[in-house]
Amino acid sequence: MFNKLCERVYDQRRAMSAEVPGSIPGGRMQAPVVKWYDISLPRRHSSVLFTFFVAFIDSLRLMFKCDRVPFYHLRVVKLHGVVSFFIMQLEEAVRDDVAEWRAGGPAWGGLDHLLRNAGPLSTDLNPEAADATQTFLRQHCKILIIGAGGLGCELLKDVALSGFRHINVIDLDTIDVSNLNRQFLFTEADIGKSKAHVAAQYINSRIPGCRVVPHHANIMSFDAQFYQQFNIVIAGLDSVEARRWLNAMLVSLVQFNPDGSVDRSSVIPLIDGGTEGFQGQARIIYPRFTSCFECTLSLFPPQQNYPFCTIANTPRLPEHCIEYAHVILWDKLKPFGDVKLNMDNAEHTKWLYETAKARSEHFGIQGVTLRLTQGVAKNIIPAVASTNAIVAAACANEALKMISAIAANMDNYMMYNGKSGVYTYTYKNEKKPDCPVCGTPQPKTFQVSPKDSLAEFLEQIAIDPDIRSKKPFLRSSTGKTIYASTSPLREATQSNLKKKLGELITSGTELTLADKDLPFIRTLIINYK
Amino acid sequence: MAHRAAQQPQQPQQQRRYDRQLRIWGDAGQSALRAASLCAISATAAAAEAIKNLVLPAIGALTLVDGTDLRQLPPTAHFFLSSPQRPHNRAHALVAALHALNSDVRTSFIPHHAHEFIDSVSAAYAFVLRFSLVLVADMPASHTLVRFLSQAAFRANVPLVLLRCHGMIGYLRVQAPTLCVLNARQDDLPPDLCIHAPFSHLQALADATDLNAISDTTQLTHVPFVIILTKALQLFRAQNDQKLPASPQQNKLFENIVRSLRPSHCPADALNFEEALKRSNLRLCYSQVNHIPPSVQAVLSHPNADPRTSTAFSVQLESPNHHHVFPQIVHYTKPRPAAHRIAEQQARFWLIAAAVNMFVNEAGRLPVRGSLPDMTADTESYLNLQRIYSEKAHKDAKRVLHFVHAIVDERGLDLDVDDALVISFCTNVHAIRVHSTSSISDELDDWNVDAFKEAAMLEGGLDPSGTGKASPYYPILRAVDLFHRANGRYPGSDTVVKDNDIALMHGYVATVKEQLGLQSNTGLWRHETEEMVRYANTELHNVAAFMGGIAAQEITKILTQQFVPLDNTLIVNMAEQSSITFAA
Ligand SMILES: [Zn+2]
Repeated sequence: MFNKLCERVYDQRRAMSAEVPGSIPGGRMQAPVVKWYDISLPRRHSSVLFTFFVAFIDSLRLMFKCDRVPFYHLRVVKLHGVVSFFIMQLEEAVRDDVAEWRAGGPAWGGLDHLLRNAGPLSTDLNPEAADATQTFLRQHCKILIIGAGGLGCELLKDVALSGFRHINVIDLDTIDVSNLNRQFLFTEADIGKSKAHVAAQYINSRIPGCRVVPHHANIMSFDAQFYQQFNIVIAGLDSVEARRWLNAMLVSLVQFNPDGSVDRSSVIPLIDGGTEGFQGQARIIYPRFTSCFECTLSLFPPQQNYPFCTIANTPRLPEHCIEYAHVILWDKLKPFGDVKLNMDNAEHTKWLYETAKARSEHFGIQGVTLRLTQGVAKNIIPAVASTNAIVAAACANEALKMISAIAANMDNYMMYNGKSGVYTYTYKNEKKPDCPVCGTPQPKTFQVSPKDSLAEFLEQIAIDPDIRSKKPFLRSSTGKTIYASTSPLREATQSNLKKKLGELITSGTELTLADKDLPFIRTLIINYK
Repeated sequence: MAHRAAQQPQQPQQQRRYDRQLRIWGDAGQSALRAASLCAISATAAAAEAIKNLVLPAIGALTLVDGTDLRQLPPTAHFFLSSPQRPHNRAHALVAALHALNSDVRTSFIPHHAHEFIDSVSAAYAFVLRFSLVLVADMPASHTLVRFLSQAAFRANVPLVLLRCHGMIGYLRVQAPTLCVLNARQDDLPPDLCIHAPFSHLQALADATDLNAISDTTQLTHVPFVIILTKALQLFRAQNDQKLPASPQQNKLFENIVRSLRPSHCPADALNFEEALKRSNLRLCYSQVNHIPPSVQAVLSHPNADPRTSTAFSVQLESPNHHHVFPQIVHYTKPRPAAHRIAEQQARFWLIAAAVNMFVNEAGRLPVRGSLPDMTADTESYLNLQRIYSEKAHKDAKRVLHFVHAIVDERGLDLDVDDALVISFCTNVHAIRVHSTSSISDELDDWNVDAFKEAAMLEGGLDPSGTGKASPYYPILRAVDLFHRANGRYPGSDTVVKDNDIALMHGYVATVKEQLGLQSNTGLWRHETEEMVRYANTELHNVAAFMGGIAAQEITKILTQQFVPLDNTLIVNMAEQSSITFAA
């Protein structure tokens, strides 16, 4: 069965049921019957103030041989009018909601009922392990939600209402007014605040016992050790680059046994969702077992670029005028000095709109509006609450099935389209044998003319469907750096851009391509036509 | 007096807040959504999820009907009802929570169970008239309340959406006698460039372009392909009795003419000539003279679109027979003056469709839409071409508007129609649609067995060895309703008699199989039936969220009159993440 692939989760659940046969740790820890406030601190908290606490807890942790917990809890307890401070580890601080989920309210009773009743199609379910599964789900399983945006808000609510308690969420963004039409954890009062923090606080206040730990950071600022602590990762990202990076990170965590087979206990499943307008998809990636994000990169074509000669010489559409102002005029005119265009800056947006509008009027082209300007320059993806709800629910449902075995997981890709009726299609997306992340990549051969300039060749690898490198670092097999897009080597190699390929390398040369945004290194072979 | 559905420009703050969805359904769609008034009966988790997804994009008004006292329910992890200070009535509590999400929505509630005051079709009729759309959640289709609402809503032409979740299974049913779509937004339709029947300005522009006389190659490679194809077709017609290419051989001939038009001094890889060649085939699929797509023809030949005999140009609804007293609606926020009704939008739709009918009778073709795709061309020739298309479209729309006024005068109608609505109707005339569904009440007694079998067959749901299917759960849900009617509870809900429930359910499924003309004693749907008993009508949040999302999306499509609505039943199996739709 496909489910068996998730052995890491299975092993842990089995271990749990062996440890506490048939027991629900209901009376394990009684919450103090007092008013209390919790403050969660990320372990990486740099404040000097807490260094002492962290050291203190570390010694406690060693003393009590506690499992690794990535953050600490500062609890302020007000007892008989006297305020005392306790620092507790998360596990003990979780207010017990066992009584509630066993009592069987409509939302949680459903899961408990299904765990205790097997059916002919739930072949992986062992009703005897129901209590152990509940304990594992609520007290040990750690889930990471990536993104606290349209999908992320829904995902947080869905996994929390599914029974997950140890939830981490990463988001780099702050809340904007245009998020409020779908990101329901935020209100107007939250505009400008961190998405991750506001979302975590909201969920924690609504779901008893839930501990969402927010990370206001870029996913790339966390290392392998961070990702390794989770049982499941669900991604609700809109950036293809971020999804490529995350996918490669999780694939890289897979360990191999001495006989070359995959060590299944090292596999962390990734559930990935995406939406656009009334369309979306949800998929399960079991690194090394199923197709990965990189295998199916061609499903996410790069955004359309208008040819330079069109936007410069023969503009016809309002988009052409906006793109010219965006790509050419901003750098040429430097209206705000030597700064990058920031579409979140109202002044920048206004300048771009007015410049594009002036250009369109010069040519007699109609239709440059502020909405279109933002759409083109920011590459805005249309988004609505309902599609996010649908895709997030499908992702969270797969996560719950993975942990609970109340039903088999889908294998492995679901497409949704609500534009014409309601259409879903679930199919097995096949692994690509030469996937540069999870397969055995072959050197990629380029047939080019020796008269092409290096700049032209770089354009080619930027749009090549399975490379898409925008910040390349190219080195020939002889060790010569052909081009580097980042300092300090950029200055040294910039002069190569105008040179013809024939002047730089001979036919048949092997080039090594690296890119700081890409999670792999590729070998390119250059053959002259 | 009909409510005016004029597009009101949104305030800048609103523009920013709703920017991401305005990019999907535009200002017109948003105005229609803002004018709508939704009634939701029974505030279960799935309904709450659906409503949340309508409150966020700012539906106009919302009335929740639910008499449940939250103190009577087991402790629950309902996301919107977890505040300790929540009101005790479930409708009240949910309205309070949803109001906090978006105060642009007018909210109200009735803290009573709907069946307490809707006790006849006539009462249901008087009730549904107040709303644009009614959503009923988690009630068996055979429930008398659903029957009353279904018959009443069908008569009043108020769309009704039925949403149910049973364990891992979701069910969604849309009921509406007619649904008019202003813009189906299907982007796979080829643009109508009128090349097969060029209007005078297009022909004049083609005539004025002498390709061989253009010596400048830059200019030559920027002649729009529309001009090249118009010229080529004129040549073809001159050689072929004024006929269009009809056979593959003639297509080849036509392609050769297109090739022959490229002057010898023009580069072989000129993009505009490549575009012309590429389109020479595509164009032919759409080039039957005066071709009107079948989905548009269905609108124009509908009895409601007949300029002389149609009765659909005004909202003609019988008033309720009796005076019914309903519990007072508690307004959580200030009420809107009037609910905008689908029937009023439809009266305008049919009036304009009738005017388009008169236009087609006169011109022998649909109005020109006026949109021009991007193509290889220099700025001047492209803008010139764009201008003549948009002028032609404007002229056609003016003519349609003239017919609208003629019908209004002749029939003495009290219906004001915005010029902008007529223009946008003509701009999207290729994408107008009409849909109609059977009524849920009729489906209970006499359902569309053939449509189900066809959909089930395609999915493999009639194959006993197949797994992972959604289709078996439609007949099983019918069996669940039979069980519920006989026992007053859902199968599996009493675990003590689970085996007995399974046996009973196999019996009910056998009855449904007989209705389908299938052998009743085979193993077909056996496992699925037992799974359904296992589910025991449990409510799982993810299933509720998934189905609530789809319900909200369907309701949005109906209220904005955009995209293509569900026809008419959706069954989702979240255990395997599969689904089917069919017209029950
Ligand atoms: Zn791969």
